Amino acid sequence: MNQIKLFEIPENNFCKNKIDEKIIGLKGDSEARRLFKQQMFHALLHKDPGKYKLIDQVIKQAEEKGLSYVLCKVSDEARRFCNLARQVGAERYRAISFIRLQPIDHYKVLMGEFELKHNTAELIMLHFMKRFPRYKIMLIFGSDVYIGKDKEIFKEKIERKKIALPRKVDEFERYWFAFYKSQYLPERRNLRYLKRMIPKKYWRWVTELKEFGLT
Amino acid sequence: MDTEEKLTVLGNAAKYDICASTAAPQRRPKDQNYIGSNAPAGICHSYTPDGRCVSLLKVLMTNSCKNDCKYCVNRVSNDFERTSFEPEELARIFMELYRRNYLEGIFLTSGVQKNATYTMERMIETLEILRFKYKYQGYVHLKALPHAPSNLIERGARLADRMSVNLESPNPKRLKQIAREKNFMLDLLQPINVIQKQIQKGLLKSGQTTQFVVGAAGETDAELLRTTSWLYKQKSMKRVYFSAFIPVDETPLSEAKPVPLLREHRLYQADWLMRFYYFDINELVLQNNQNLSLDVDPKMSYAIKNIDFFPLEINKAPFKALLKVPGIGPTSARRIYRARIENRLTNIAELKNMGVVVKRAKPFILINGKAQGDIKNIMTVKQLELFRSSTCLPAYAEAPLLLT
Repeated sequence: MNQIKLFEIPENNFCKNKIDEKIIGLKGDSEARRLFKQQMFHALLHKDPGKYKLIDQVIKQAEEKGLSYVLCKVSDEARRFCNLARQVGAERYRAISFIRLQPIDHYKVLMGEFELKHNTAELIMLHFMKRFPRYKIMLIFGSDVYIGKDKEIFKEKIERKKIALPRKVDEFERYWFAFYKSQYLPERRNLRYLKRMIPKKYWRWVTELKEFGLT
Repeated sequence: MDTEEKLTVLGNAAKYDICASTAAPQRRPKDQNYIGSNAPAGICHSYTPDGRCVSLLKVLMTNSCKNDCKYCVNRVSNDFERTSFEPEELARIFMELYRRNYLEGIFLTSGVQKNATYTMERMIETLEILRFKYKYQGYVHLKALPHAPSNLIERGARLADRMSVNLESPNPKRLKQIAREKNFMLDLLQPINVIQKQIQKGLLKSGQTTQFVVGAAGETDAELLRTTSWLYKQKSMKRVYFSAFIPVDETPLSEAKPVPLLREHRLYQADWLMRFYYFDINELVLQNNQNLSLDVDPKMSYAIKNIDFFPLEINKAPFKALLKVPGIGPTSARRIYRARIENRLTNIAELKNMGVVVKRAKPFILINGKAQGDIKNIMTVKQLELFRSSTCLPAYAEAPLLLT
């Protein structure tokens, strides 16, 4: 298995040191620099191939008009740049919200599955590794399997047929469905809001929605 | 009853408790043998079709209750099967659900079985099992029961991230109408004071909250907002929740009219104006009946009433004044404030990029001295028409409808 390092982004000119170099020369206080760096990391994890060109443009704007010009999204380019970062953050958030883990191998491993658009796998692994340090975390994203163990993350390609989550509904899943169903207030039914909070593309992962016939 | 049935019954009985926030600072465990963590911004793991977040295992410890509150299904005079969780049972179920990433934390509340001391002891025992046996480091919200003794609240505060006491009504007079046994000062305010002291000692990092049942005792928005403002200023309340009254079967109020959800929404808008927009309670505009307008949101009501305050020059207006402009929220106001330090804002498209809802903001702003919309129009368009038809006084009214 290949060990991977966080934020080691292949084939781009913005490796960590270069970002630092670029940012040091920009107008803005240390907090603005920290925020810009964070936005840059997130934007670089976006799947859009046009991100490099856009990042070049916002760095140029930051050199001319200051970091706050970009961070406050004054220009169209700055807004698009911040949106890239936001979309990556949103994907991470939804993954850590909606991935359901299953204890396997006598409770030594917590295993889950999700579909990602951006390169957020490591961010998601880090969240679960920090939350469950006693366990090995095994997450399947498409044809990649990530295993987190002792603060290290390993990645491997898999044949989809060879690995699958156990599909049997266990007693705790039944408990969860029972509890989830009990929380509904029919007087407040608001499906539009539900769809905003859980966009339809994620419904297949949020299995409890089936309890209300939402598939 | 088996566990599944208990979860259904005790979950159903706890669903009217609103607080779903799980935001809490990270705990720093001493070793790596723990399970769970807090998320500073909170995480919502699921939503029901009513759009409410389900991120906490929100259950009653027991639905036995010695109180006879008129709005509550668990009242002592109701004849139905009572059940309860054993502390170990509840802790084990929670840990299994948490491990599966269904939940972000636990919200433990209860009916008052025997007395507040007995029930609180059992709730605390559950939390002790979670914290010490399972080494759980995630989020815990503990409800302090009315008349809970101080020593138990102090014990609970060492285990929980957040505690709450439900006031239900804004003042003693209103409380008497719906819950005769409860004493507003002794049973409810006293625990709030004890919790406040624990917060001052550095415990309960997520603070304390409370909840009002809106409309159950005929209270007005003015009463609710006055108490809300007082709680924020005097009791370091982190958050006040409003729950529009929904009549529940088998209660004395089952025939009462439900309160429109829009009223609850308007109260939340007013609450946010006080918490994040630097609005003073005296700046909130009320109708003759001492309620907020249902037709016009509180911020637009303020803008129309104080029309002389506008338009504001976007490149010069102080931060707090920017927050008074409809369509400009705290985030966009901060962006405007920061961006204009080094650069002059020149057009409406820039404001749109920064997150301003320009359609609402246009009549109230100037950019480099240039008006972006006609402020007179706002007085003839939909908002003002609605304002008039809802018997809200127009902006130039002499008699103030403000809270005092």
